[in-house]
Amino acid sequence: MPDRKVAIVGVAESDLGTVPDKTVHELHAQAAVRAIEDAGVSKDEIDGLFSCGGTDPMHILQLSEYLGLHPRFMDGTLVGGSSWETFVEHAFLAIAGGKCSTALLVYASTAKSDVARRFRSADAALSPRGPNQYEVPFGPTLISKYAMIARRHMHQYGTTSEQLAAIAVATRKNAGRNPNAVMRDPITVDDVLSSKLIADPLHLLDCCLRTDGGGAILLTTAERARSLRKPPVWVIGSASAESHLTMSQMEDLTVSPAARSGPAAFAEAGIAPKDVDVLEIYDAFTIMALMTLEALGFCAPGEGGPFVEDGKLAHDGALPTNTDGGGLSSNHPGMRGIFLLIEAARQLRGESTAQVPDARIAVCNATGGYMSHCTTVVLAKD
Amino acid sequence: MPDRKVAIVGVAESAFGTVPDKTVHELHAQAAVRAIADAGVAHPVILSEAKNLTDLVSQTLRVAGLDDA
Repeated sequence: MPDRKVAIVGVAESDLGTVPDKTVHELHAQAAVRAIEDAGVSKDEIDGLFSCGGTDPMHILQLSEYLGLHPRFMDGTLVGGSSWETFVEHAFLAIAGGKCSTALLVYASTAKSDVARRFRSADAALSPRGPNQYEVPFGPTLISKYAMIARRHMHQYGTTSEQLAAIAVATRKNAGRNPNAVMRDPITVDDVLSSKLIADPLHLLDCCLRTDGGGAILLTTAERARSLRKPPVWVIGSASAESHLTMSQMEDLTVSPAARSGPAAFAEAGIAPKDVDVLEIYDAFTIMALMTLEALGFCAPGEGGPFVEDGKLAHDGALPTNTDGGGLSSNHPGMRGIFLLIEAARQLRGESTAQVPDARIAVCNATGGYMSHCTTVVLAKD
Repeated sequence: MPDRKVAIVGVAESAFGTVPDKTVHELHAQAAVRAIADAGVAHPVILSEAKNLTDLVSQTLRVAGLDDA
Protein backbone atom coordinates (compact mmCIF):
# COMPACT_ATOMS: atom_id res chain seq x y z
CA MET A 1 0.00 0.00 0.00
CA PRO A 2 1.43 3.40 -0.93
CA ASP A 3 2.03 6.17 1.59
CA ARG A 4 -1.06 8.01 2.70
CA LYS A 5 -0.18 11.63 2.15
CA VAL A 6 -3.36 13.40 1.03
CA ALA A 7 -7.01 12.85 1.90
CA ILE A 8 -10.43 14.12 0.92
CA VAL A 9 -11.85 15.56 4.13
CA GLY A 10 -14.89 17.55 3.02
CA VAL A 11 -17.53 16.98 0.35
CA ALA A 12 -20.77 18.79 -0.49
CA GLU A 13 -23.22 19.61 -3.24
CA SER A 14 -24.88 22.96 -3.83
CA ASP A 15 -28.59 23.11 -4.58
CA LEU A 16 -29.18 20.75 -7.52
CA GLY A 17 -31.75 20.20 -10.23
CA THR A 18 -33.49 23.37 -11.38
CA VAL A 19 -32.07 26.39 -9.55
CA PRO A 20 -33.30 29.52 -11.36
CA ASP A 21 -32.76 31.87 -8.41
CA LYS A 22 -28.98 31.60 -7.97
CA THR A 23 -26.05 32.74 -10.09
CA VAL A 24 -23.28 30.33 -10.98
CA HIS A 25 -21.03 32.13 -8.49
CA GLU A 26 -23.59 31.75 -5.70
CA LEU A 27 -23.68 28.01 -6.39
CA HIS A 28 -19.87 27.82 -6.23
CA ALA A 29 -19.93 29.61 -2.87
CA GLN A 30 -22.78 27.51 -1.51
CA ALA A 31 -20.99 24.24 -2.35
CA ALA A 32 -17.70 25.56 -0.94
CA VAL A 33 -19.25 26.69 2.35
CA ARG A 34 -21.03 23.36 2.77
CA ALA A 35 -17.80 21.41 2.10
CA ILE A 36 -15.97 23.56 4.66
CA GLU A 37 -18.71 22.81 7.21
CA ASP A 38 -18.61 19.10 6.33
CA ALA A 39 -14.85 18.99 6.91
CA GLY A 40 -14.85 21.13 10.03
CA VAL A 41 -11.93 23.25 8.82
CA SER A 42 -11.62 27.02 8.80
CA LYS A 43 -11.91 28.95 5.55
CA ASP A 44 -8.56 30.56 6.42
CA GLU A 45 -6.84 27.20 6.05
CA ILE A 46 -7.62 27.05 2.32
CA ASP A 47 -4.45 27.92 0.41
CA GLY A 48 -5.13 25.97 -2.79
CA LEU A 49 -7.97 26.60 -5.27
CA PHE A 50 -8.86 24.40 -8.23
CA SER A 51 -11.74 25.20 -10.58
CA CYS A 52 -12.72 25.69 -14.21
CA GLY A 53 -15.84 26.74 -16.10
CA GLY A 54 -17.70 29.74 -14.72
CA THR A 55 -18.25 32.85 -16.78
CA ASP A 56 -14.77 34.08 -17.69
CA PRO A 57 -11.68 32.57 -19.34
CA MET A 58 -9.85 33.66 -16.16
CA HIS A 59 -12.53 32.02 -14.03
CA ILE A 60 -10.03 30.90 -11.39
CA LEU A 61 -9.17 34.53 -10.60
CA GLN A 62 -12.79 35.64 -10.68
CA LEU A 63 -13.71 32.80 -8.32
CA SER A 64 -10.93 33.42 -5.79
CA GLU A 65 -12.01 37.09 -5.73
CA TYR A 66 -15.67 36.14 -5.27
CA LEU A 67 -14.91 33.64 -2.50
CA GLY A 68 -12.54 36.07 -0.75
CA LEU A 69 -9.64 33.62 -0.94
CA HIS A 70 -5.99 34.42 -1.54
CA PRO A 71 -4.62 30.99 -2.47
CA ARG A 72 -0.90 30.53 -3.01
CA PHE A 73 -1.56 27.66 -5.43
CA MET A 74 -4.23 27.70 -8.14
CA ASP A 75 -5.06 25.54 -11.15
CA GLY A 76 -7.70 26.09 -13.82
CA THR A 77 -6.96 23.20 -16.18
CA LEU A 78 -9.95 22.64 -18.46
CA VAL A 79 -10.24 19.16 -19.97
CA GLY A 80 -14.03 18.81 -19.74
CA GLY A 81 -15.90 16.74 -17.20
CA SER A 82 -12.73 14.97 -16.10
CA SER A 83 -11.19 18.25 -14.89
CA TRP A 84 -12.17 17.49 -11.27
CA GLU A 85 -10.37 14.16 -11.18
CA THR A 86 -7.41 15.89 -12.85
CA PHE A 87 -7.56 18.49 -10.08
CA VAL A 88 -7.37 15.70 -7.47
CA GLU A 89 -4.19 14.48 -9.15
CA HIS A 90 -2.78 18.03 -9.28
CA ALA A 91 -3.87 18.85 -5.72
CA PHE A 92 -2.25 15.65 -4.49
CA LEU A 93 1.05 16.73 -6.06
CA ALA A 94 0.73 20.27 -4.71
CA ILE A 95 -0.06 19.13 -1.15
CA ALA A 96 2.48 16.29 -1.13
CA GLY A 97 5.05 18.71 -2.59
CA GLY A 98 4.41 21.34 0.06
CA LYS A 99 2.99 23.96 -2.32
CA CYS A 100 -0.27 24.17 -0.38
CA SER A 101 -1.84 22.40 2.57
CA THR A 102 -5.61 22.54 2.11
CA ALA A 103 -7.09 22.56 -1.38
CA LEU A 104 -10.62 23.51 -2.40
CA LEU A 105 -11.98 21.99 -5.61
CA VAL A 106 -15.24 23.63 -6.56
CA TYR A 107 -17.59 23.44 -9.50
CA ALA A 108 -20.95 24.90 -10.42
CA SER A 109 -23.05 25.46 -13.50
CA THR A 110 -26.47 26.87 -14.27
CA ALA A 111 -26.62 25.00 -17.58
CA LYS A 112 -30.31 24.18 -17.31
CA SER A 113 -31.57 27.62 -16.28
CA ASP A 114 -29.22 29.25 -18.81
CA VAL A 115 -31.04 27.45 -21.65
CA ALA A 116 -34.37 28.76 -20.31
CA ARG A 117 -32.82 32.25 -20.11
CA ARG A 118 -31.54 31.84 -23.69
CA PHE A 119 -27.98 32.43 -22.46
CA ARG A 120 -26.91 29.29 -24.30
CA SER A 121 -28.28 26.82 -26.82
CA ALA A 122 -29.46 23.34 -25.90
CA ASP A 123 -26.51 21.82 -27.77
CA ALA A 124 -22.96 22.59 -26.70
CA ALA A 125 -21.59 25.39 -28.86
CA LEU A 126 -18.76 23.86 -30.87
CA SER A 127 -16.10 26.23 -32.10
CA PRO A 128 -15.52 26.08 -35.85
CA ARG A 129 -12.00 27.45 -35.35
CA GLY A 130 -8.84 25.38 -35.56
CA PRO A 131 -8.84 21.75 -36.70
CA ASN A 132 -12.56 21.50 -35.91
CA GLN A 133 -13.28 23.61 -39.01
CA TYR A 134 -12.89 20.46 -41.10
CA GLU A 135 -15.64 18.63 -39.20
CA VAL A 136 -18.14 21.40 -38.38
CA PRO A 137 -19.45 21.58 -41.99
CA PHE A 138 -20.67 18.00 -41.61
CA GLY A 139 -22.80 19.00 -38.62
CA PRO A 140 -21.71 16.71 -35.81
CA THR A 141 -23.34 17.55 -32.48
CA LEU A 142 -21.97 16.44 -29.14
CA ILE A 143 -24.58 13.68 -28.96
CA SER A 144 -24.03 12.52 -32.54
CA LYS A 145 -20.34 12.00 -31.78
CA TYR A 146 -21.25 9.58 -29.00
CA ALA A 147 -23.87 7.99 -31.25
CA MET A 148 -21.16 7.30 -33.82
CA ILE A 149 -19.03 5.69 -31.11
CA ALA A 150 -21.96 3.55 -29.94
CA ARG A 151 -22.75 2.44 -33.48
CA ARG A 152 -19.13 1.45 -34.05
CA HIS A 153 -19.13 -0.59 -30.83
CA MET A 154 -22.31 -2.35 -31.96
CA HIS A 155 -20.85 -3.05 -35.40
CA GLN A 156 -17.55 -4.35 -34.08
CA TYR A 157 -18.75 -6.37 -31.08
CA GLY A 158 -22.48 -6.96 -31.52
CA THR A 159 -23.38 -4.74 -28.56
CA THR A 160 -27.14 -4.18 -28.45
CA SER A 161 -29.43 -1.30 -27.49
CA GLU A 162 -30.88 -3.61 -24.82
CA GLN A 163 -27.44 -3.98 -23.24
CA LEU A 164 -26.84 -0.22 -23.24
CA ALA A 165 -30.30 0.23 -21.74
CA ALA A 166 -29.38 -2.12 -18.86
CA ILE A 167 -26.89 0.53 -17.71
CA ALA A 168 -29.62 3.20 -17.61
CA VAL A 169 -31.95 0.83 -15.71
CA ALA A 170 -29.37 -0.05 -13.03
CA THR A 171 -28.37 3.59 -12.62
CA ARG A 172 -32.01 4.61 -12.17
CA LYS A 173 -32.39 1.94 -9.50
CA ASN A 174 -29.52 3.61 -7.62
CA ALA A 175 -31.09 7.05 -8.09
CA GLY A 176 -34.26 5.72 -6.46
CA ARG A 177 -32.32 5.65 -3.18
CA ASN A 178 -31.05 9.22 -3.50
CA PRO A 179 -33.55 11.92 -2.44
CA ASN A 180 -31.48 14.54 -4.29
CA ALA A 181 -31.61 12.66 -7.60
CA VAL A 182 -33.69 14.40 -10.27
CA MET A 183 -35.07 11.19 -11.88
CA ARG A 184 -36.03 8.51 -9.35
CA ASP A 185 -38.91 6.44 -10.75
CA PRO A 186 -37.82 2.93 -11.78
CA ILE A 187 -37.46 2.26 -15.51
CA THR A 188 -37.19 -0.89 -17.61
CA VAL A 189 -35.18 -1.80 -20.69
CA ASP A 190 -38.38 -1.36 -22.71
CA ASP A 191 -38.79 2.16 -21.31
CA VAL A 192 -35.33 3.04 -22.57
CA LEU A 193 -35.91 1.49 -26.01
CA SER A 194 -39.28 3.19 -26.41
CA SER A 195 -37.99 6.62 -25.35
CA LYS A 196 -37.38 9.14 -28.10
CA LEU A 197 -34.47 8.40 -30.41
CA ILE A 198 -32.07 11.34 -29.95
CA ALA A 199 -29.16 10.31 -32.17
CA ASP A 200 -29.34 6.77 -33.53
CA PRO A 201 -28.68 4.45 -31.66
CA LEU A 202 -28.92 6.58 -28.47
CA HIS A 203 -32.39 7.02 -26.98
CA LEU A 204 -33.41 9.78 -24.59
CA LEU A 205 -32.80 7.52 -21.58
CA ASP A 206 -29.31 6.62 -22.86
CA CYS A 207 -28.42 10.30 -22.41
CA CYS A 208 -27.56 12.19 -19.23
CA LEU A 209 -29.76 14.90 -17.79
CA ARG A 210 -29.13 18.61 -18.00
CA THR A 211 -29.44 20.25 -14.59
CA ASP A 212 -28.13 23.15 -12.57
CA GLY A 213 -25.87 22.53 -9.61
CA GLY A 214 -22.40 22.36 -8.17
CA GLY A 215 -20.15 20.55 -5.77
CA ALA A 216 -17.02 21.06 -3.70
CA ILE A 217 -14.27 18.92 -2.23
CA LEU A 218 -11.55 19.71 0.30
CA LEU A 219 -8.25 17.85 0.34
CA THR A 220 -5.56 18.22 2.96
CA THR A 221 -2.42 16.69 4.43
CA ALA A 222 -2.41 13.37 6.27
CA GLU A 223 -1.61 15.11 9.55
CA ARG A 224 -4.53 17.56 9.31
CA ALA A 225 -6.86 14.88 7.96
CA ARG A 226 -6.29 12.68 11.02
CA SER A 227 -7.23 15.58 13.33
CA LEU A 228 -10.68 16.12 11.77
CA ARG A 229 -13.93 14.55 12.94
CA LYS A 230 -14.81 12.57 9.82
CA PRO A 231 -12.73 9.62 8.58
CA PRO A 232 -10.15 10.56 5.92
CA VAL A 233 -10.72 9.34 2.37
CA TRP A 234 -7.21 8.70 1.08
CA VAL A 235 -6.06 9.40 -2.45
CA ILE A 236 -3.91 6.33 -3.18
CA GLY A 237 -3.59 6.47 -6.97
CA SER A 238 -4.29 8.71 -9.93
CA ALA A 239 -3.42 8.93 -13.60
CA SER A 240 -4.59 10.78 -16.70
CA ALA A 241 -4.60 10.11 -20.44
CA GLU A 242 -5.56 12.16 -23.49
CA SER A 243 -6.76 10.88 -26.82
CA HIS A 244 -8.03 13.58 -29.21
CA LEU A 245 -10.44 16.48 -29.52
CA THR A 246 -11.21 16.34 -33.24
CA MET A 247 -13.28 13.19 -33.79
CA SER A 248 -11.40 12.16 -36.95
CA GLN A 249 -8.26 11.89 -34.81
CA MET A 250 -9.70 9.33 -32.36
CA GLU A 251 -7.51 6.32 -32.98
CA ASP A 252 -10.12 3.65 -32.17
CA LEU A 253 -13.75 4.72 -31.63
CA THR A 254 -14.31 1.79 -29.26
CA VAL A 255 -11.42 2.46 -26.84
CA SER A 256 -11.61 5.00 -23.99
CA PRO A 257 -8.44 6.80 -22.85
CA ALA A 258 -9.22 5.09 -19.52
CA ALA A 259 -7.43 2.09 -21.04
CA ARG A 260 -4.23 4.03 -20.25
CA SER A 261 -5.20 6.08 -17.18
CA GLY A 262 -6.91 3.15 -15.41
CA PRO A 263 -4.03 0.65 -15.32
CA ALA A 264 -1.58 3.42 -14.38
CA ALA A 265 -3.75 4.58 -11.46
CA PHE A 266 -4.40 1.00 -10.32
CA ALA A 267 -0.65 0.26 -10.41
CA GLU A 268 0.12 3.36 -8.34
CA ALA A 269 -2.51 2.29 -5.79
CA GLY A 270 -1.38 -1.34 -5.84
CA ILE A 271 -4.86 -2.63 -6.64
CA ALA A 272 -6.59 -4.67 -9.36
CA PRO A 273 -10.18 -4.39 -10.63
CA LYS A 274 -11.25 -7.25 -8.32
CA ASP A 275 -10.32 -5.08 -5.30
CA VAL A 276 -12.80 -2.33 -6.19
CA ASP A 277 -15.85 -2.18 -3.91
CA VAL A 278 -17.55 0.84 -5.50
CA LEU A 279 -17.12 2.33 -8.95
CA GLU A 280 -18.08 5.86 -9.96
CA ILE A 281 -17.69 6.43 -13.71
CA TYR A 282 -18.76 9.30 -15.89
CA ASP A 283 -21.96 8.35 -17.72
CA ALA A 284 -22.82 11.20 -20.07
CA PHE A 285 -24.17 8.42 -22.28
CA THR A 286 -24.67 4.71 -21.62
CA ILE A 287 -21.96 3.90 -24.19
CA MET A 288 -19.44 5.99 -22.21
CA ALA A 289 -20.04 3.90 -19.09
CA LEU A 290 -19.80 0.65 -21.06
CA MET A 291 -16.52 1.59 -22.73
CA THR A 292 -15.12 2.74 -19.38
CA LEU A 293 -15.84 -0.66 -17.80
CA GLU A 294 -13.91 -2.33 -20.62
CA ALA A 295 -11.03 0.15 -20.49
CA LEU A 296 -10.60 -0.20 -16.72
CA GLY A 297 -10.37 -3.98 -17.09
CA PHE A 298 -13.60 -5.01 -15.38
CA CYS A 299 -14.32 -6.99 -18.56
CA ALA A 300 -12.47 -7.56 -21.83
CA PRO A 301 -12.74 -5.12 -24.74
CA GLY A 302 -16.02 -5.79 -26.54
CA GLU A 303 -17.56 -7.71 -23.63
CA GLY A 304 -19.15 -4.71 -21.96
CA GLY A 305 -22.60 -5.53 -23.32
CA PRO A 306 -22.89 -9.06 -21.86
CA PHE A 307 -21.12 -7.79 -18.71
CA VAL A 308 -23.78 -5.20 -17.81
CA GLU A 309 -26.96 -6.92 -18.96
CA ASP A 310 -27.54 -8.81 -15.69
CA GLY A 311 -27.88 -5.54 -13.75
CA LYS A 312 -24.62 -5.92 -11.80
CA LEU A 313 -24.11 -2.14 -11.77
CA ALA A 314 -26.98 -1.62 -9.30
CA HIS A 315 -25.99 -0.72 -5.74
CA ASP A 316 -26.82 -4.26 -4.61
CA GLY A 317 -25.21 -5.90 -7.64
CA ALA A 318 -21.80 -7.51 -8.15
CA LEU A 319 -20.16 -4.21 -9.17
CA PRO A 320 -21.98 -1.28 -7.52
CA THR A 321 -21.56 1.61 -9.95
CA ASN A 322 -22.78 5.22 -9.97
CA THR A 323 -24.51 4.65 -6.67
CA ASP A 324 -25.87 8.22 -6.50
CA GLY A 325 -27.76 7.74 -9.75
CA GLY A 326 -25.04 9.17 -12.00
CA GLY A 327 -25.43 11.70 -14.75
CA LEU A 328 -28.12 9.52 -16.29
CA SER A 329 -30.52 9.94 -13.35
CA SER A 330 -29.15 12.10 -10.53
CA ASN A 331 -27.75 15.33 -11.94
CA HIS A 332 -25.60 16.63 -14.79
CA PRO A 333 -24.75 20.34 -14.82
CA GLY A 334 -22.24 19.85 -17.64
CA MET A 335 -18.86 18.83 -16.22
CA ARG A 336 -19.95 16.28 -13.68
CA GLY A 337 -16.66 14.72 -12.57
CA ILE A 338 -16.78 16.28 -9.11
CA PHE A 339 -19.96 14.36 -8.23
CA LEU A 340 -18.18 11.03 -8.82
CA LEU A 341 -15.65 12.01 -6.15
CA ILE A 342 -18.33 13.24 -3.73
CA GLU A 343 -20.28 9.97 -3.97
CA ALA A 344 -17.13 7.82 -3.72
CA ALA A 345 -16.07 9.69 -0.56
CA ARG A 346 -19.54 9.22 0.93
CA GLN A 347 -19.38 5.49 0.20
CA LEU A 348 -16.01 5.19 1.96
CA ARG A 349 -17.37 7.16 4.95
CA GLY A 350 -20.52 5.00 5.07
CA GLU A 351 -22.74 8.01 4.23
CA SER A 352 -24.20 7.04 0.84
CA THR A 353 -27.93 6.82 0.27
CA ALA A 354 -27.22 3.52 -1.53
CA GLN A 355 -24.47 2.35 0.81
CA VAL A 356 -22.34 -0.62 -0.25
CA PRO A 357 -21.60 -2.60 2.94
CA ASP A 358 -18.00 -2.16 4.15
CA ALA A 359 -16.81 -0.34 1.03
CA ARG A 360 -13.03 0.09 1.39
CA ILE A 361 -11.76 0.89 -2.12
CA ALA A 362 -13.56 3.21 -4.54
CA VAL A 363 -12.50 4.14 -8.06
CA CYS A 364 -13.59 7.26 -9.95
CA ASN A 365 -13.06 7.51 -13.69
CA ALA A 366 -14.14 10.69 -15.40
CA THR A 367 -14.21 11.37 -19.12
CA GLY A 368 -13.92 14.79 -20.73
CA GLY A 369 -14.77 16.07 -24.19
CA TYR A 370 -15.85 13.42 -26.70
CA MET A 371 -14.08 10.42 -25.11
CA SER A 372 -11.13 12.83 -25.34
CA HIS A 373 -9.55 12.63 -21.90
CA CYS A 374 -9.77 10.52 -18.77
CA THR A 375 -8.46 10.73 -15.24
CA THR A 376 -8.76 7.73 -12.93
CA VAL A 377 -8.59 8.26 -9.15
CA VAL A 378 -8.33 5.46 -6.57
CA LEU A 379 -9.65 6.25 -3.08
CA ALA A 380 -9.40 4.19 0.11
CA LYS A 381 -10.46 4.36 3.72
CA ASP A 382 -8.26 3.41 6.68
CA MET B 1 20.61 25.48 -1.82
CA PRO B 2 17.55 23.24 -2.20
CA ASP B 3 17.67 19.91 -4.06
CA ARG B 4 17.90 20.25 -7.81
CA LYS B 5 15.07 18.16 -9.19
CA VAL B 6 13.77 19.84 -12.30
CA ALA B 7 15.48 21.82 -15.06
CA ILE B 8 14.60 23.67 -18.25
CA VAL B 9 16.43 21.80 -21.03
CA GLY B 10 14.94 23.16 -24.25
CA VAL B 11 13.74 26.61 -25.25
CA ALA B 12 12.59 28.07 -28.55
CA GLU B 13 10.41 30.70 -30.14
CA SER B 14 8.14 30.22 -33.11
CA ALA B 15 8.22 32.78 -35.88
CA PHE B 16 7.01 36.02 -34.31
CA GLY B 17 6.25 39.59 -35.21
CA THR B 18 3.69 39.59 -37.98
CA VAL B 19 3.04 36.03 -39.16
CA PRO B 20 0.00 36.14 -41.41
CA ASP B 21 0.74 32.83 -43.14
CA LYS B 22 0.53 30.43 -40.18
CA THR B 23 -2.38 29.30 -38.02
CA VAL B 24 -2.12 29.55 -34.27
CA HIS B 25 -1.82 25.75 -34.15
CA GLU B 26 1.07 25.83 -36.61
CA LEU B 27 2.86 28.33 -34.40
CA HIS B 28 2.36 26.09 -31.35
CA ALA B 29 3.80 23.16 -33.28
CA GLN B 30 6.70 25.18 -34.67
CA ALA B 31 7.74 26.41 -31.23
CA ALA B 32 7.39 22.92 -29.75
CA VAL B 33 9.40 21.23 -32.49
CA ARG B 34 12.15 23.84 -32.17
CA ALA B 35 12.29 23.44 -28.37
CA ILE B 36 12.50 19.68 -28.76
CA ALA B 37 15.34 20.14 -31.25
CA ASP B 38 17.03 22.56 -28.86
CA ALA B 39 16.84 20.00 -26.06
CA GLY B 40 18.19 17.29 -28.33
CA VAL B 41 15.38 14.79 -28.00
CA ALA B 42 14.14 12.83 -30.94
CA HIS B 43 12.09 15.20 -33.02
CA PRO B 44 12.83 13.44 -36.34
CA VAL B 45 10.71 10.62 -34.92
CA ILE B 46 7.85 13.02 -34.51
CA LEU B 47 8.14 14.30 -38.05
CA SER B 48 8.39 10.84 -39.58
CA GLU B 49 5.35 9.54 -37.72
CA ALA B 50 3.15 12.56 -38.18
CA LYS B 51 0.41 12.04 -40.74
CA ASN B 52 -1.02 15.55 -40.52
CA LEU B 53 -0.95 18.67 -38.40
CA THR B 54 -3.11 17.35 -35.56
CA ASP B 55 -1.07 14.19 -35.51
CA LEU B 56 2.10 16.27 -35.45
CA VAL B 57 0.90 18.19 -32.41
CA SER B 58 -0.20 15.00 -30.71
CA GLN B 59 3.12 13.28 -31.45
CA THR B 60 4.98 16.36 -30.28
CA LEU B 61 3.16 16.22 -26.97
CA ARG B 62 3.89 12.52 -26.62
CA VAL B 63 7.61 12.89 -27.26
CA ALA B 64 7.71 15.89 -24.97
CA GLY B 65 6.02 13.73 -22.32
CA LEU B 66 3.12 16.15 -22.07
CA ASP B 67 0.24 14.01 -23.30
CA ASP B 68 -0.39 12.31 -19.98
CA ALA B 69 0.43 15.29 -17.81
